[in-house]
Amino acid sequence: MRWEVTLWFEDRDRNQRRCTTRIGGLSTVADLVAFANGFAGVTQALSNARVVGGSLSTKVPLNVPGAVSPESDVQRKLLLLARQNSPETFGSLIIPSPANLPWPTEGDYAGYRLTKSDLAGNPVVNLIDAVLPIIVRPDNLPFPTEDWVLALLSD
Amino acid sequence: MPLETAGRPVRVALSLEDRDRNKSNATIGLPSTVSIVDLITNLAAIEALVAGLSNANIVDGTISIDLRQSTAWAPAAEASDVERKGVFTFATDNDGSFGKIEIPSVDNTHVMDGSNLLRLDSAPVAAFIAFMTGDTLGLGRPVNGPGHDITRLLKAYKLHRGSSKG
Repeated sequence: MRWEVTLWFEDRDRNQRRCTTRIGGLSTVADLVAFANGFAGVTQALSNARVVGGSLSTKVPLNVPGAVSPESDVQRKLLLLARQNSPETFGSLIIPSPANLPWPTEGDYAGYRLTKSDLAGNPVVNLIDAVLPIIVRPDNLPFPTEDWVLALLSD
Repeated sequence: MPLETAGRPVRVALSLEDRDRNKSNATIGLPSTVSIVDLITNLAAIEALVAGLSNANIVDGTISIDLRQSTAWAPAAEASDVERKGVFTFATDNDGSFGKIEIPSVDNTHVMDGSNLLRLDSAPVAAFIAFMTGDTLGLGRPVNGPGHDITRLLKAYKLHRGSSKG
């Protein structure tokens, strides 16, 4: 994987501009951070602005997309809301253009919720249960895994 | 002034496109302590989840990690100006493929008087060139956009250029 290492420089008047290089072949985030710090060291020595932050980023290797469904609409969103009882915490994910779920076929079902038991036997249960333990919330705390529901945000 | 990831998750952003070519993202966090090998494994599970719950196509994706300064810093020097760039162009191990780096607010003490050329005998300039063209940290050599190893300096100069984006 090829990573972009970007540094943000800030001048006296708080204008910011970035400076980017790339590196491949590193196997740990710690190595990437070490490389970023090395790059920051040699560039900071050339500049009288301050390195105030930065980022590491890379493109995700994806499978080639297949034919898109005529029903797809990214304006519709699926909310996955997960909960943990003790200590009580919540986590949420939003996925555009929901599909493959047994929503009611008639009527206004915005806000309708599907629980894990509603989805018994549906393959999405295994997909969700596989992902929740490995992800974190935006505050870097573990994502709740005890229970979850799915809801449509809009239609 | 070390940069660190503390307290910030690794963000995986998958871009989904519907039949009408509208796009929207699904953004999911992974622990900042994850190894890159685990990150790729976890990415497959995340991609399977999003593909299993959505009928839009996943057309693009990025993994990003924020870096922050772990120590407070003094305001930059009065003479600092991020529009004054130190521009370095490099050759790579692939003929015809080049690399270019622009360092904001290059210090004028590294510029030859009477020209816009950077002084290659300046220790910080030499250290930067050594970093870009060698493997000074033992972590590998920097590469250009297409992924070719940067091998040698072609030109180093100062350029004043206002930019509308970073």
